[in-house]
Amino acid sequence: MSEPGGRTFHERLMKVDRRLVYLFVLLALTVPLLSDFGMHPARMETAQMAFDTVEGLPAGDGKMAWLAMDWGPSTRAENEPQTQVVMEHLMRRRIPFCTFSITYQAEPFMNSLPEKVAADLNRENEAQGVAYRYEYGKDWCNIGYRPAATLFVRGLAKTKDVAGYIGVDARGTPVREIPCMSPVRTVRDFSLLAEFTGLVGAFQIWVQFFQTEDYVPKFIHGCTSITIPEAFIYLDSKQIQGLFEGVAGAAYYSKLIKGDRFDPVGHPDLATKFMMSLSLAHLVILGLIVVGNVGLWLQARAAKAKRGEGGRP
Amino acid sequence: MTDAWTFYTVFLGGVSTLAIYSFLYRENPFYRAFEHLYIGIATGLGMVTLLERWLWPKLLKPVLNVGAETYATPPQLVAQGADLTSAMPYNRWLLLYLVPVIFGLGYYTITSARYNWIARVVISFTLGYGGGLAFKGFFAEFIPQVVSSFKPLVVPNSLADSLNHVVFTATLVCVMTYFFFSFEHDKPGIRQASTSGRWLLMISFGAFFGATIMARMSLLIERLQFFIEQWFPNFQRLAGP
Repeated sequence: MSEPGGRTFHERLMKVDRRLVYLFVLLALTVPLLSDFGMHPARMETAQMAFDTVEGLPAGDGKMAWLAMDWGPSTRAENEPQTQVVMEHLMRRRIPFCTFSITYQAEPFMNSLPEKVAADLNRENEAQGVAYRYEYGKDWCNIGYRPAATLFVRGLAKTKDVAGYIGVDARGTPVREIPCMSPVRTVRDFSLLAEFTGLVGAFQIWVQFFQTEDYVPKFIHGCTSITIPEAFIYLDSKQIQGLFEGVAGAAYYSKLIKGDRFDPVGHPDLATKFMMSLSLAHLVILGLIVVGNVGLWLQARAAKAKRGEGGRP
Repeated sequence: MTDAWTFYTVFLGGVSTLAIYSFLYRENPFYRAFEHLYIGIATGLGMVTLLERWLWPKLLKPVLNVGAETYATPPQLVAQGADLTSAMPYNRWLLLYLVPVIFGLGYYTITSARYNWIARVVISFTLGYGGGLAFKGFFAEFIPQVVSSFKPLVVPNSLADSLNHVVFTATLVCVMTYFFFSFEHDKPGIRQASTSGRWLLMISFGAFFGATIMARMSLLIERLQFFIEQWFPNFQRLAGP
């Protein structure tokens, strides 16, 4: 069926400017961000496992969680919400944690993210008349970036004196003098390892070396969407006890932490907003795939008809 | 000062993002310039962070005995005016740190025709310990996965688990068959398993590709949120109330 200009519908369809496709996707991503509307995230078994793992940790036993923030600006979109919800969960449960990274690009986030979570929780406590205040040194400490990842992690797992091994935190304070770190002697004093990354090989370093012959801490992992299929191998072999499947995992985890306070309609949090955008963009992409395939099918049918091998004359 | 600093950093962040995304329209000098800028900044940041966070506090500061009193004295005692400098004598054994430093610097002799044998010693050492770590790491990572791949095909009282295990085992066998290149895949049974393995691989590649799209979208969302919550409000603040 020819149209004005001599080009058929399927020819026009197959020659849509790719920039138009970008524009559609851009609009689909932007609209949910501009609105304060969110939806309840879908249940994710893997995020539930991560939540149960953190929820199952004993609080007040002098043990800490080790948060490996092996991410930077390039994967911040997915790893930041994951890290943020785990920090919030640990703080709410009063389980101290330390932040650490094998990539230097995480430096600013290791400082700002726990500060932000603590400020939010402190505001919440004030509103509810709770006297407890979350503070650096008491609830968390920032070890900072260390080079030579494999050697450092292996040494950390083997040392009998974690404070001496680490030396000073990111602020230059001797780790021995940081209250939440003072009970820590060996890797056994870390009840949880939570690792968030989009870097190739970073996660494997922790799987391989953050353990001793007779002790492996509980391990949850936040990965970027690209590595989700690969991460399932480690979940299946029980090398990790929970998984964040990209930002979707963070959104569901956020719902689990907040419980009745979770209000995606009106007050969506960071992860929920991201999920709304992502969902709409996926629908647009699916639509475009269908349109593209219809175009291909029409083109093939037209070519077949032209050859006179079948179809309508 | 702080406001101006915030304005310019956020402004530059937005301009940089637009420059990189301008590639979607077409290749252009604006994109190319910011691409090089990004590489330069990333390299420079890495060097400075390494120096500031590691080499200086962990190596140079103790070895050179710079600021030893603040490094070793508990802050509360310093606050009380205690001078424990004399109580912390310089530890001469710290000079041993220089041995691996000098050894590592030997790598830079690689550009010298006369002394590049020193670099080869350093490289040999690196390969040696790298190989040892990889060997240990391989077993720690893969043995649990191999063990977990032996699954019971029938799980009592759980049809779903049984089905999962059957699918898992069939997939494992088919994909491994596809990667056996020691014999022709023309025998009955082998051929079907190999073909199935290829199809199953295609399905997994599809899953990877879908996940990749999701990841790329997430990155774009983060940038869009930056524009909505920081970049545009930045100009509103500049315009005033």
